[in-house]
Parts: sequence; C-alpha cells; structure tokens
Amino acid sequence: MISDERLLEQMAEGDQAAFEAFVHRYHVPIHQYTERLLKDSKKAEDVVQETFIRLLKQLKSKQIPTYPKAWLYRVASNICKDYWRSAQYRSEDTAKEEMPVTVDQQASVIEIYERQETRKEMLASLKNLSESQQQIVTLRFYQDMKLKEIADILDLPLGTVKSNLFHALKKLKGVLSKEVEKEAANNEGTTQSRPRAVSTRR
Amino acid sequence: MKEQHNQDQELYQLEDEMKDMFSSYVVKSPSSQDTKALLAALQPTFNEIASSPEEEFRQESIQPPSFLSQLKAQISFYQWHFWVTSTLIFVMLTLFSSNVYVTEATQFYQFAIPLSMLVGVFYTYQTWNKQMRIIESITPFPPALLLLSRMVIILAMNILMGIIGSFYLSFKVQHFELLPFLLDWIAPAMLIYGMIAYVMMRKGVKFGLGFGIAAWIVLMVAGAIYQTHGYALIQFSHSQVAGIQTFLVTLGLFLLFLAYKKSLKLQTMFR
Repeated sequence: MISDERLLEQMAEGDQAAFEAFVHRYHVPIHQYTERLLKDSKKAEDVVQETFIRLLKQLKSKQIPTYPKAWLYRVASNICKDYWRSAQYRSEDTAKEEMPVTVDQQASVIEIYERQETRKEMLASLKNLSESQQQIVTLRFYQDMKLKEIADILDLPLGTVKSNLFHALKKLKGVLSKEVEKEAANNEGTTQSRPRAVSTRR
Repeated sequence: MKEQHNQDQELYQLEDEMKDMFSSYVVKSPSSQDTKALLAALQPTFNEIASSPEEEFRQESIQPPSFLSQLKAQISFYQWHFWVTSTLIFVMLTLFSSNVYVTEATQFYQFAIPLSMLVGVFYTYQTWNKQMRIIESITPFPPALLLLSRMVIILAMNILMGIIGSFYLSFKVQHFELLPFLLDWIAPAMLIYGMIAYVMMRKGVKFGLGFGIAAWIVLMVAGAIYQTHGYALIQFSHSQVAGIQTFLVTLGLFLLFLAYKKSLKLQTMFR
C-alpha cells in the first residue's frame, strides 16, 4: 500500500488520483472521530471538510506534514476545540442524543432498543469527561490508536495521556455502574424486568 | 519502574473491562456518495495546488534519518537484565581465560564473542516486532535502519567488553601480546557480523542469522583444521597473519556500511 507521505507528495504535485485516494482513505475515520467528539453528524462533516482544506493549503505551500495521520487528527481535534469555544456551540441546542443508531439488519427489535439505551447512557456518561479526556477515550477506543500516537496527536506527554485515560475510564465506570444500579432498583418489583445490555455483556 | 508497570497493568485491565461498554456507541459511516460530495467540495482548493508556482518541497520538520540519534534512542530499548547478563558473560569469559595459556585464551575469545553477538542479534530480533511497530508508526525512520541500529549496539557492546577483557588479560597472562590478541578475535567477529548485517538487509532476518551461524561454524572449523594440520602445509608470518586479519576487519566494516546504505532504502518489515 502506498504510504500517506507518498500520496501527499503526489498531491502536492497536483496528482488527482492521489488526492482522491487520500480523501477516500481518511474520510470515514476522521468523520467518525469528529462525530463522536461533537455528537453531530452534520457538524462533523463541516469539520472534516475544513480539515482537508487546511491540508490542501499546507500542500499548496509545499509543506508536507511529517506524519500525515497524526497531523489530520490533530487539526480535526483543534477545529473541534475551536467549535466548542465558539458562541455558535453555546447558542445551539445540543440535545443530540437522539441521533439514530446505525441499523443492523440482523439485530432484533429488543437488541436495537437495548443498544440505543446503552448508547444513550454512554453518550450521557461521556459528558462527565473533560474535552481532553473525551478525545483520548475516542482515539483509543474508536480510532484504535496506540497511546504514543495519541500523545503525538494531542501534543501531550505519554504519561499525561495514560493518567488522563485511566481517570476517564474510572469516572466512566463509576457513572455507568450507578446507572445500572439505578435501573435495577427501578425494575425491582416489576414482573417483566428487562435484561440490560450493559449488565449482561460482561 | 515496578510502580509504573503496575499502573500500566491497571490501565490495560480497566480498558479490557470497558471495551464492551464502548462498543455500544456506534456512529454512522459516511457513504461513498458522501465521499464523492466531499471530493467535489474540495476540488477547487485542490486545483489551486496545481496552479501554484513550482517550489521545492519542504518536509515540515522532517529530519533525514540520523543513525547516531537512532543509536542513542535504541540503547534504552535494551533492559537492565540484558546489560547485566552480557557483563556477567564477559566477566566469566575473562576470568576463565586468565587461568590458561595465551593460545587457549585466544580460542575462547574467538569462540565466545561471535557467539555472544549471534545471541544478541537473535534476542534483538525476537523482542523486535511489537516495539518496532510502535516506533515505525511514529517516526520517519525506515524500520530496517532501526533494526540495524540495535545490531550495532550489540556489536559495540561486544567489542568494548572484549577490549576491556583483553586489557585485563594483558596484565594477568604471561607472554601476552595485546594487539595480536585483539586482532585474533576482532577479525572473525567483525567479518561474521558484517556478513549477518549484509545478508539480513538483502534476504531477511532469518537468512542473515542462518548465514551468520554458518560463517561462525566454518571459521571455527577452519581455524581448528589449520592449527592441527595447516602448519605443515603453509606457514604465515606474523605480519602476514596481521595483514589477513586487518583485511577481514575492513571487509566486515565494509559489509556493515553496505547494510547501512541498504537499510535507508528498505521501507517494509521483513522476516
């Protein structure tokens, strides 16, 4: 497989095929990453577009990023941070937890319902984390990145990434356990208690 | 260090526990139509690249692969028990050699140092893959150069400890001549090492190691045959022996240099 660096070199020379190949390679992962950070698919698409535009501008000045993958994630992260700080973000209705889950044709109605419930809990619990912790968790679990890569992307020391991830996971675990307990208490006494995806998975 | 290890273990355990929980948060993947739309939106900006004036590329903060910086970085790869074990082996070899005649001490060194190098290369290769993948993903250095840098650390360590041991022997052993003794073991070790590095960069790690072991056996057997039967057929003067040994050292260094040149161009992991 042709390397990212080589593709960017060819893009800087104006190679259309390299441009298309590079966008195809990174569109999905960067979109998913930003969508998880912003919890908004439309806004994520804007961020993805802005990220690629910044890359193209960089190439126009014949500056090729050393490690393109990390560079892309770093720029996308920074655009998300700018958005969080913006007045637009504060003024918008951010109740975006009701986004549809990707429909799995094989899953039963109950499974889909459970998954949506778990997903809602997950989304709610992620709000307890700081911006930086959310980014670390997202990169680690959904982008399947190594800790060193995350440190490079977020420009943080490796130790800071580890401790942030550790505290974030502890916090999430605590929040989610409470949710499960609350649900169990609510279900007590009812004859048809619904088994929870969260509690049955482990 | 142990505390750090425990913290890491705790983190990995927590990650395992949480993995299932995270799998519930699925997001929509953009379709190929979405990608086409993105490409169309980016096209005008991309077209500006082609119309911009020709300029030399500036690889942002890319440094050409520096072998020295790699050597420094890779020293930390070897853990303390590797250094302690290696030092103990050399201490034992030297103490053992100090109680025998010069010719036997030479044989011990000729036997043990190339073997120590082979074991060192094997250890490097065995512990290479996982760390290698991490480093490969975050540095612009060719992976082969990283492996070679670790091998050179092994070579330097063996030569350095061998020299220290030789100095010790020069005080302890009677009729000991330092320079011929050094050449006696450095020449075969250097030649074998150069061969391993050269073959490894062309045919792969396993081939290189196999070739190194074969070269070591051949040299040992050839040395033994010459000492038992060879004197009767052909006799070399001291200066001739020194000349041959110097040639072998030079050849080994030359092969190592060729391996270095090749490692700069290799971009794939090899077995």
